[in-house]
Amino acid sequence: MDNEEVEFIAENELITIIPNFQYKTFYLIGGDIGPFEPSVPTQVPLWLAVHFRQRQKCRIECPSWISVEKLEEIMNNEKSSELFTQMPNAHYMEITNVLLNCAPQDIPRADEVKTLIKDIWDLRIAKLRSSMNEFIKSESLHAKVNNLTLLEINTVRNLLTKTLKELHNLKQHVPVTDE
Amino acid sequence: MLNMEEKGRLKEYKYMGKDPEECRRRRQESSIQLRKTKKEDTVLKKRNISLQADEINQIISDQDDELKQRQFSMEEIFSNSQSTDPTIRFNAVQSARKLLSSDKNPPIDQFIDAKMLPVLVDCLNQNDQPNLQFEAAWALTNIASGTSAQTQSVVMAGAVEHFLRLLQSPHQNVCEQAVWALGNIIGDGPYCRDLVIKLGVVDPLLQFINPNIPMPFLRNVTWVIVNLCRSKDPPPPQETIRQLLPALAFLIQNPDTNILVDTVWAISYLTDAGNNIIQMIIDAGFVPYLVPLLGHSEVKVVTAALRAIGNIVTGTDQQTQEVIDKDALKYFHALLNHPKPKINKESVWFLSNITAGTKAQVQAVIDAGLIPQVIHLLSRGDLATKREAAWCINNLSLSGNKEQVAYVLQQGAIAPLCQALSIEDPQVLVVVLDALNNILKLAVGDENDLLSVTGQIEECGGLDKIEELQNHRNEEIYKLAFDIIDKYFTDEDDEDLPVNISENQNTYNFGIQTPGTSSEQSRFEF
Amino acid sequence: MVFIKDAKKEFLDQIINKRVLVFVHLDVDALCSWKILQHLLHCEHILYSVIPINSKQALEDAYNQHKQVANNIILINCGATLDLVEILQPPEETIFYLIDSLRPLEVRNVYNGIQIKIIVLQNELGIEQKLVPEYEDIFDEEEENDEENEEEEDGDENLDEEEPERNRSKRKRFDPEYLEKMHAKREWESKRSKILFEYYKYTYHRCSSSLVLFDLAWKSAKDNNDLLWWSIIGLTEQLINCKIDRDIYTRYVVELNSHVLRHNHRPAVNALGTSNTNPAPDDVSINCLKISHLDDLNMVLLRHWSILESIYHSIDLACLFKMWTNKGKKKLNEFLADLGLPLNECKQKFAYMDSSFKNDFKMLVASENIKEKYRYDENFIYLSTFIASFGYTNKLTAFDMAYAVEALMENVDGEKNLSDKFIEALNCLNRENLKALECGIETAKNHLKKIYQQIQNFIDMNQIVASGPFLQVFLEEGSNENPFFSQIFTSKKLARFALQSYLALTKGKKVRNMPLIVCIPLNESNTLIAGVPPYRATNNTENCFGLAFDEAAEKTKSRVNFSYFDTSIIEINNEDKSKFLDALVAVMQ
Repeated sequence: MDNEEVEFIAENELITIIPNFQYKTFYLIGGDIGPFEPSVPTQVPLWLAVHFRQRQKCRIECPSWISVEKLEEIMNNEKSSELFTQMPNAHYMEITNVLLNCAPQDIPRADEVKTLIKDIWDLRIAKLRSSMNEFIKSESLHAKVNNLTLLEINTVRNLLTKTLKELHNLKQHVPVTDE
Repeated sequence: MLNMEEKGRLKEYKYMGKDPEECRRRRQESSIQLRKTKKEDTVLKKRNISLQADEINQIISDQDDELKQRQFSMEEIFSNSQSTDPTIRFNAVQSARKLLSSDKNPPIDQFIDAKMLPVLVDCLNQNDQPNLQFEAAWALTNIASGTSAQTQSVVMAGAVEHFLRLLQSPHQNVCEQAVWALGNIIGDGPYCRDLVIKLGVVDPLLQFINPNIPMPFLRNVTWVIVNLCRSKDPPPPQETIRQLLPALAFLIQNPDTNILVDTVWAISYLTDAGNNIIQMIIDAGFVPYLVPLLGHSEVKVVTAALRAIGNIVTGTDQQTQEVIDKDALKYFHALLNHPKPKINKESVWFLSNITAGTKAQVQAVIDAGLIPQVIHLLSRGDLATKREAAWCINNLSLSGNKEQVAYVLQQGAIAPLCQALSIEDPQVLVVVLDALNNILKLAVGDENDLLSVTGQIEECGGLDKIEELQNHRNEEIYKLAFDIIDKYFTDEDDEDLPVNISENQNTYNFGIQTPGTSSEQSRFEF
Repeated sequence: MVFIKDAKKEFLDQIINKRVLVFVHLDVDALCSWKILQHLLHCEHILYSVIPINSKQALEDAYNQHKQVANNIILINCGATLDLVEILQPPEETIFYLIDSLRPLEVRNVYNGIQIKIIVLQNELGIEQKLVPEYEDIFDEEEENDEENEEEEDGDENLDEEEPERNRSKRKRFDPEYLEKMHAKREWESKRSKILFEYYKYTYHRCSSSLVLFDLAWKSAKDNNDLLWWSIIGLTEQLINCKIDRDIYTRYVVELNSHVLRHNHRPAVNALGTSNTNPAPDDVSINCLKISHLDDLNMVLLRHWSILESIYHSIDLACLFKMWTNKGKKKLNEFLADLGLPLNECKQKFAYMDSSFKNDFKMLVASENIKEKYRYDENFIYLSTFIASFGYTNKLTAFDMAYAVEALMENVDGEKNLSDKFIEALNCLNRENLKALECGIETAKNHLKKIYQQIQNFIDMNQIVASGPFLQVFLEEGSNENPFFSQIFTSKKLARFALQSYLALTKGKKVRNMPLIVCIPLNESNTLIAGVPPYRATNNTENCFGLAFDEAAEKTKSRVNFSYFDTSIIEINNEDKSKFLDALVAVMQ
């Protein structure tokens, strides 16, 4: 699984848009969408929201957690907690990224949001790295980590599994070379 | 018969244009539909589909006359115009006349083919019905206005005698229409003209020229006189001309421009018909009347007068002198400057005939200061004007003496002449080469003169052009070109140039130093 | 009248689900229009092919080559002045949508209705309609029906004038009713030709096409800051090339400013009602385009040049100081001294100048004593425009953009064909493509330098001379720069610069009202002639040369090619040049 696939999954998240057109309900495998009435907020999957936004058929209503105040709070929590805190959305990184690219106009204080999200991400990845370090050093057999998001796991998956495998190889070979 | 569908179509056709929005759409919808409509229309005509009078009235009572008339078939007109009922007959003849007078291209041949001509001629006989005579005469006038064959068929139908008789009619509209009809017949050419003259048209025609005649009628009479003077192969009989001259002398003083223009054209036709007739015109005292017309404010008058006077100076030197004596040359400064190229051309043509005259006549042109303008037109006029200007210089180079030719060269004639060698017109080329040849010939006597002329020809690129013309496919042209190169431009290569050339390059003595002429006069700066 | 009344319904909605073919003239306004239209087509998922056009021939060729592709054809700044149905012979189902700033519109296009639709600014519909002659005054349905008659009559008349005697040896007598009808017809015809003469007398421009399309985008709720910026650049190009005058430009600037304000203020309330009641200007992401109105200094490419260079190449200022004379150069130094600007600073790139000087400079040039001493007013030294910023790059004015884009299109260096130039110029309009933009600005500077140098040559050699009712100037044959100067907009810029500089240096009064032509040898056989109207501060956009060129060519039977949509630029065969120019003198008198 690569990051694009993770983003693809994230695009199924529902998001509120304010359409500027009228259209009847239509039916997708994932569920019914619509009906659309101008100026009446409605929920659609993120991918559809992007599609509409690019053609200027809607404005995107930012999820409430994409705000400077809220994100600052999340970051502070993350900083003060030794463990991973729960994120407002399992795809917080992907969603903000998509929205910042496609509709920065619809996000209040977009540049600050961008920085905050990146800070939170860095914070959490750093935490993840250090705990992985300890995990390997301690030669534990298993560890339990809560509140990691799919993308975060995906970022370290390759590294972690490969490292463990290498270590395993090394361990098997060391006695042989010693002898 | 017109069925309902066609009625609808007719109406649609008629009311096109009333609703612009709809029209535009129609125009868009494609021109094909329009073409179709038109085609149907002609098919309808060809089939001679006729309509009953009451039917027509019913359909088109609110439509204009023209359409109503068009719906009469030829057969109907033919049969109705032989009716014993005078009203039916008159209506039929009138509708025939309307058909013939409401279109640029009336259906003349259809009338001839329908054997309508004898019927119409017969109507001319009905002295008790002047209106019928008038309508029939009008119809025949327009038939005679067509091609020569169409005019002939009117003559063959025996109409001429009737028209001549109608000149005596007490009804002026009938007289006038007869005059008009005769004018068309006379205008067909010398054969018809002389036929009508033989049948005695001149005397009754001239009787109309009196102070009481209405202006439009007089214009028509004048026009018929023009037709009598037209055509020089052969010209009208001298006796006829003699009869017409007093009338023309009267008409040339008429204040009406149309009459004046026509009269002057009549004179110009006569002056185009040989020196004898020119002499008759001079003797009748027309020249003093014609010359001032060159300064007339109407271009039409000037054009005609210029042609008449121009024809006179194609006559003998004596006849030419008559025109010069009336001070005609003073008008030419303006004429050569005229904005109309046609007038420029005719003026230069006029002058070219004077410069073909005596040395004194050549001098008169020089003294009038017209040469610079001729040279200007030689370089800047249109093709026809350039050709005349080349002739003018050519004639002068032949008829003029050394001083006169020298004067022309001093005005800078060489360069424009050489430029004219680029014109791809054999006649111009011959005339120009000939002129250059004449000029060179005159210069032969004096080494410096010759060097100056050859130098100028070379400088303006004329030599290259003459050399090129040696390859021209026209025999006369390549011979002339070859001669010039051979005589005046070859030996220089073999012989050393005279030493004193550099000193005298820009100045030379042209002309003979005769006692009495000061050297000042014959010394020209180039 | 067949102007489109509702561009969304009658144009945009009509082409949905259809394929369109778009012909775009190679000018900045047309390119900006295309960018806006492209956005609208994307929004509606409309398939398109786009082809750049620079001459009438190119339009004809491109149409014939691609007509199978689509029946819906959009022409931007090319073709509204031509009789398209006649020239292109389109099949009946083909529809042309015309968006063109050039006037006068061909009347047959205006009244076509079925195949040709003209889109103009909606709130100028009334004015546009009034400009075109009434249908009834110029079209006669009956006449359409019998064209044969018409031709013959013409023939007769000609004969009448030329050789009255020959035609009149026989005469018809016509029915009085018929004569009356013919008389009325002739009267109507002479009235028509008078109307048409008045209508076609001048060529001029109206509202920029990019503004027309922005208006459409706005009314279709598809407008955004990018579209707005393009439409501003399109309008600016119209002023740079004197297609419209300052007054009209200012009017449109005011109109556009309302859009600028609308797009560059965030709505105070978002749907959830949280925060944001008082948004700060930097609320918007740095990556978003931000536009604001600005009364800028009337100096060309100032932000990319030094003050000194900018003044040299600004036509108004160069003429104010008479820069081509020593006295003029001294006067400029004095001016800068009066402003308290050290010469060293003025030679530096403006962008790197000490910011205190920068700010003072803008204030000081409009101070009372300076204005009085150098005899100009605020309107002269300031120019109302817009400035845009995005990312962390320099700010750009609409003028910078227009100059840069145009320079790329008029560039003759390198073997670039029409499409290359088109793509390069479009790239320059993409704000992501900073490299293209930089290249455009450098090219523009280079072009302005060449023009300045050429003007200096004209003046040193006294080459600008009066010829009867107009001024003329010839470029030397065989010069390396001739291909550059013969580009359509450059040729006119050169002509205008020449005219204005000549007027600045001469005391003659007669020449003040004279137009000017510039003759640029193209190759051994042809010369390009471009004409510009007399210089006036306002209302200097009506150009009479189209008709004059046509008449002079007709009179002299000269081989003249009206290659471009702008008829005041022609190509003439060298052999015919002198007689053509003689005739032009006569025509213009």
